[in-house]
Amino acid sequence: MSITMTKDDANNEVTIVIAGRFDFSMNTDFRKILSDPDSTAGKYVIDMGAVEDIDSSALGMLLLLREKAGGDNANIVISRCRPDIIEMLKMANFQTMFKIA
Amino acid sequence: MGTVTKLIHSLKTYNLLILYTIIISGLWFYEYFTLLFVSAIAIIWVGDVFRHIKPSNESLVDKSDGQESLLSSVQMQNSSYQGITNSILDENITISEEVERLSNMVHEATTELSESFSMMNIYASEQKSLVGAMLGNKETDDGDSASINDFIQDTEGMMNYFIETIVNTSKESVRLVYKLDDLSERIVSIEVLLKDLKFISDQTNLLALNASIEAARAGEHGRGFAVVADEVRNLSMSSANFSNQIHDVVAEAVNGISDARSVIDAIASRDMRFVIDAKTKNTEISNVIQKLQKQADINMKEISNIADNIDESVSVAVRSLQFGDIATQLAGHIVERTNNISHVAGEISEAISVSTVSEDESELVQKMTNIVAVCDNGVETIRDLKGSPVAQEKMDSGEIDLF
Repeated sequence: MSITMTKDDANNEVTIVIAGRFDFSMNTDFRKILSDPDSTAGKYVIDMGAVEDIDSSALGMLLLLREKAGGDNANIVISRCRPDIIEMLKMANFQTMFKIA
Repeated sequence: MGTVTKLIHSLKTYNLLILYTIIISGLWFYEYFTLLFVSAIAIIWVGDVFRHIKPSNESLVDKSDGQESLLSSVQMQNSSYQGITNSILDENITISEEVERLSNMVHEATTELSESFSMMNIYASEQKSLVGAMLGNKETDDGDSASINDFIQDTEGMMNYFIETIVNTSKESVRLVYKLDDLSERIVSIEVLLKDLKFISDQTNLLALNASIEAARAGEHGRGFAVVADEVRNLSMSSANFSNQIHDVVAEAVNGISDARSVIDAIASRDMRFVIDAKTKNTEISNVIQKLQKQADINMKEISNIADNIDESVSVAVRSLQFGDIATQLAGHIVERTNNISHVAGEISEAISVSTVSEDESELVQKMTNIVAVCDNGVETIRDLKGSPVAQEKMDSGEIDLF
């Protein structure tokens, strides 16, 4: 399980790639990205293509990211998600808070 | 024919008288004698002719010889007539009784059938209401039907609330962990400070040792310095001691934080798949119930139609049973007719039974004439009945005919 970040300064966009099980054990790494001054941007893309499974703590972390990105004004796209994981996101009503692509 | 026979009788009696008168008057009126004489002959001749076409009874009675055998024949005939009329009367009584029975049977049966059909109608109606209530049809003004749908909606709402709570708890738990991380860092910085402290106390210790050595070299003059050096050494050792204690406490704090992290891990990590299953099941149940509701509505409409059809069929049946009224009327008419026949037969019987003790031909003739009159009357009476049959021949739907 891993989490990496890339910044596109030209478009003021940050891409976060998550792989493996996205759960509580990832919280330390996730925090590193949250607290990284470079990670402040106008748009966020969270690439979940390699994510195998999530639990509620993953949803919690995503919400913390949303807080950092401006709450209701945040512009976050969750991309390449697997269908079963999309279902879990929808159950938590995430489609109203994030753009699910 | 009655008046004709009377006329003939008169003629027979009086034509001799006329002849006599003519002869007498002829003696007085010579001129007209011939004319009158011819007329008289004519009258006698006409009388003769008429005599031949009189009813057989009278011609029988007219002949004096064989009059007795004729009389007995007449009497035999009359008793036959009497026998027939009695048979007719008896038969009519039987007919009346049977028709009466028939009429009663029909009336009873139609009444029962009518009641039975009405009951069927009531039962069909009740059934319709019960089924409506059972299916929780909104039409039946039943509060329970709405609550099933409400229940499903409430359940969905509750599930959403719980999911939201779980996700929120996880979010705050992660935030808490981050706070602990910050705390951890602070504590780690104490360790760093402790290291410095250790170095300082170690160095102080070394210096104190050196001071003691120098003090010993100075001999007597260094004694006071030696004491100071010893004290400093004690202090540094104390300091090292405290350092260690602080280190232990810090270690405990770090452990504590580590434990706290584990606890928070447990709180924050909630399986979401289970919730998906529960929510999916809820949606499935909701769909099934909606389907059942739709089917129930269709079935309810069907049942309603059937109940209406039963209603209509019962109406038709009850209307058809009206035949009972007609039957009763017809039966009445039959009885009336037979009564009339009996009445006529009775009158004939009575006319026949007037006893003829004397063989007086005029009395016999009178009796025969009477019988004929009664028969003629009877024919007319019966003919008059023919004009009032029951007109209704078949039941038309939608009409209720009043008799």
